[in-house]
Amino acid sequence: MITTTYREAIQQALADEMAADPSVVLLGEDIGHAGGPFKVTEGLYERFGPSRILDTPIAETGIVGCAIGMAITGMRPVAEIMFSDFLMVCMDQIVNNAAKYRYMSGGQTSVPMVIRTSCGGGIRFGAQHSQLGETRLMQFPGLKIFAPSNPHDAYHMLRAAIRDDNPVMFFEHKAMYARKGELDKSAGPAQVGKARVCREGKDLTIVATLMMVGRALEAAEQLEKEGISAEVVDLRYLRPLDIDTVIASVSKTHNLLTVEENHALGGWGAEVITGTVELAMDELDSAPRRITLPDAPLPFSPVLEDAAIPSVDAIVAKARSMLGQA
Amino acid sequence: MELKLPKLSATMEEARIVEWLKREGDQVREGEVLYLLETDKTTIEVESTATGVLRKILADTDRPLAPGTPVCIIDTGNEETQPADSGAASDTGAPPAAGPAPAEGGAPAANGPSSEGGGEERIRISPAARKLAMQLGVDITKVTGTGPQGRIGLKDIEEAAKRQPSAQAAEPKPQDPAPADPAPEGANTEPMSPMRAAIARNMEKSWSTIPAFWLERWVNAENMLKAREVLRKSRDEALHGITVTDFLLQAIGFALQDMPDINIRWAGPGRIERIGAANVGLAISLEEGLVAPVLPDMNRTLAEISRARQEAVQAARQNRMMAKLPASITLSNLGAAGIDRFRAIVKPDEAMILAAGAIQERVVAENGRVEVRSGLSLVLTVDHRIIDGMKAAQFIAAICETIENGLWKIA
Amino acid sequence: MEKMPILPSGDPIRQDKPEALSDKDLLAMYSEMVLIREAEEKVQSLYMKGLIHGTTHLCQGQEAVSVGAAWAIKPQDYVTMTYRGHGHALARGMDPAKFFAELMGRSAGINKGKGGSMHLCDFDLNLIGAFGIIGAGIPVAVGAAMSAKLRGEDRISVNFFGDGTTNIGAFHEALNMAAIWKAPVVFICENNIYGEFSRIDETTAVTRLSDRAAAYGMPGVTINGNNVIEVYEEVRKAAERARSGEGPPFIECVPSRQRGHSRTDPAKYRPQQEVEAWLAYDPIRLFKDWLIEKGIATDAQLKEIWESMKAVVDKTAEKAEQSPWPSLDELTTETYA
Repeated sequence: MITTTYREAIQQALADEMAADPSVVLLGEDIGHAGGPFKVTEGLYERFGPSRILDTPIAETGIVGCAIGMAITGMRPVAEIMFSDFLMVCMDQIVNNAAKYRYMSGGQTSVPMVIRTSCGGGIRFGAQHSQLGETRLMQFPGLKIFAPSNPHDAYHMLRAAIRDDNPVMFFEHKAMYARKGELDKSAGPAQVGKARVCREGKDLTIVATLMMVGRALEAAEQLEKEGISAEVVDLRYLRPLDIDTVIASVSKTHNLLTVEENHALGGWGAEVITGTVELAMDELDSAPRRITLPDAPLPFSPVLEDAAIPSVDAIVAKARSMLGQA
Repeated sequence: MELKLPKLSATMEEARIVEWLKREGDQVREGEVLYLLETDKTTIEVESTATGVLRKILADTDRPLAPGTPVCIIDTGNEETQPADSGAASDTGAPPAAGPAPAEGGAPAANGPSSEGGGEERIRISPAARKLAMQLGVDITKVTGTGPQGRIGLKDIEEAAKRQPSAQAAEPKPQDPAPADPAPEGANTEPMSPMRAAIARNMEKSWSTIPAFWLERWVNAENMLKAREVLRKSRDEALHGITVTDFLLQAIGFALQDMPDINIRWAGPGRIERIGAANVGLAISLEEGLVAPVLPDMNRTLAEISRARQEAVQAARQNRMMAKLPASITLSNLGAAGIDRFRAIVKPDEAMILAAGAIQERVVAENGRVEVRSGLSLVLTVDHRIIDGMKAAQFIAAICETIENGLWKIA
Repeated sequence: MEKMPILPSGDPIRQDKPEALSDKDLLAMYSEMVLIREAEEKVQSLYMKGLIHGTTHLCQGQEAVSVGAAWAIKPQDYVTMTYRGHGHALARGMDPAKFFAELMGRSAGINKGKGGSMHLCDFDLNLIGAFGIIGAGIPVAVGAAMSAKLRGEDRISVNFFGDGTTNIGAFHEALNMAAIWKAPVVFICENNIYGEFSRIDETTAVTRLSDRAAAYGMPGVTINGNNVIEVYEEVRKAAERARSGEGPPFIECVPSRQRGHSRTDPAKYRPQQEVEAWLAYDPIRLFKDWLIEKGIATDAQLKEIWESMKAVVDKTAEKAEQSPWPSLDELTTETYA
């Protein structure tokens, strides 16, 4: 067990996989010599060299297309798209090629590649550099979507993503890179598609991902003092989505609240709530609720951005009102 | 208030009113059965969702009607004539069960809108609370909700359950709550399960309100056993699972079909109700007690009867409610338990019950000679208010004839 | 810089017999060209009959490019193409029965009926992709080349695309990346003058497409796409260069596209004289003339070959027509590995 940061956990996962399997190669902008824009790949170039790490031009479509070409010919590429907002630039390669390649080929090939990307807001980067973007990709069968919220999960889930024979979108929250946590390397491999109950409770289920997990846990601490026992579920995976763990929790608590850094319309909260209602309506003692971004692009001004991204106070307030204790 | 034909399932497209049980000018209480509705699946008793006088019947019998068709007007003494869906669902939008609540047994009028003095109020209740209310036998029409807009939540049901000593439980039957018996105090007493409490209540009601008599016959089962052997060897594997119970159900079904006059039950002072279909209840023994769901149309083939029986048993074991159907008779077969002969108690909402014993070899006298024959005892208990000895005797004779002469319809 | 488009040429084949190709090889090339021609005619007629669904993109008149290139590369080389890939697929050796079955959506199709005309691939033949989105395959081809390079294999990647593709972003990104990494990829652009329905001089700033290669420091050459021997020799040279690690070459072939953009396009936008002139430039006929002139085959032999290829096409199409539809159980299979 070691204490490490989210960033270092990711770096170690890359290093450990590259050491174990020569077919794992990295490609992306500034990841080699420069060690990565967020310093995630620092030191790897020195260790593995230009035959394993390719610095690319600024060409997202080219990067992902190239990764696909490598993946279908025997490599396990891990491409980096610097900001998840830029996924929009190369969406064609991701959703029309990578996601569908296996299916359209009638199973002749698969695309064992990973796209790592830094997502999320709270650091004043403005509307085009602060989005999550994972929810949009849920619409595409053939893809997998991973979203770790802590160093331990980041390490094991990235290794699992690289081992996976399917194209995996790996979302790292940029505001969490320096966050510390415990990492137990021996406690692997990750169970792909399994959510985690990271705090038990009996009155309310709060479902969150990435940075919202930490906020939900903080909110749960506060709520405990007010006599509300909240259970926090870290989804970890958006595709495949573990609705069973949510339902098991709601069957205990009978109240469901989702918290996400996405807009309400089409956010994953809608999917979790719908899945719960479809399969476990009789367990609900109140209407499920979701806390989301407001319906506007994310603003730059700190005051506005902080109001837009769901806060601990917002979670506490919503929980109270759901349980009739406003 | 205009009542409309309920939509009882997502796929229901049309249904027919078989019979109006109330006439124009009659007093109608909310929860009382208004008419019998025949769907493609079964016949359902549809209850009134309002209290008042039945002013006008708008829909005739025997015509195909679509859900939502206005069927009658009830004068509730209220100026407003807001249409209400009869048997409309609660605000959770669950599929309505207008009749004796098939999927959601429990308290009466739990699924319909509650009319408090003619107001048009739906009961707001969370799905979890509704489920708990059923389990604990809480009457949700008597619970005040403390949630948003007066919604009833789990807490409210839990509170209500504490205050309500004798709960109405899983047996689906609209009836008055039993008077609360003070439980004898003592160190070794404990509460009954809801199912147990329901059975206790039903048995007490039956014993105390139905004047019953019994007829006994011993029936030769050799043809039946031979038929079962043949079916067991059939190429059609579906026929391998046909049991003595299935044969008995069919025999009863045929007898009901041939003697529709006996296919009736008590329907209140001075009234009888004709069942119309050869429905037969089946007593199913469970760990926790006993249930007796009604199987529809037992004048079908043995293969179909067997399938229906197996589904009912499975549903009972999984604690699932099945559609509530009217019947005049239930079959109780204790043969597997080795019982020679017994008298069963009529279900309070039926007219007869047939108790079947174990198949045994017996020494019988035939044409002056001693023979050994395989057979079983049948004891028919009958509600003497509405069925007399001769009719009942003919009925049981018809059943025996089918069994002894092997007049089966197999598949 | 040339502004007017380069037009297809009807010049007879003047090259000598290539050293590496025997008479048998040359006749095999002829058979393949004929197979492709007959197959595309058959596809057309099946489409009219409603047995091939959706849309399809035919390549009659471009057989010299497919066949010339196919013979110039090695079996281990990766091939990627666009949705106009029937010719390349058959030239690479795809089983015609599986080809027709795929176009008809049957489960015996090369992609089990799940891909269709635009997505033919056969990984056993290293035919690794056909792409419906213009330009999407070019970076993929570069990636495949990089796989080979990083593993140190004697293997190149060959990528076919059309003239319209040279205007889309993916083209530029991929060529740039291939150039900086010296990826062992050969870019073969089939310039049939019309990108979808627009003529090239209306949409493209540089109409001699091989000049565009210079923007990436790549050698570019424009060749006669109706001359199968020329295609063979040029692609061979290019393949050698790519294999040697000197960087990706760019070949612009100008064949005649005889039909419209797709089956749903009868090509009314092309002036009639243009079409008539180009139809006269038939790469198969040019090759036939050359084979006869060089004494490699007689007219009668070549006719026989044509008959037998037609029979193959008829037989395999018939077989495909009789073959079963995919079962509904297969609707969601092969989505995930």
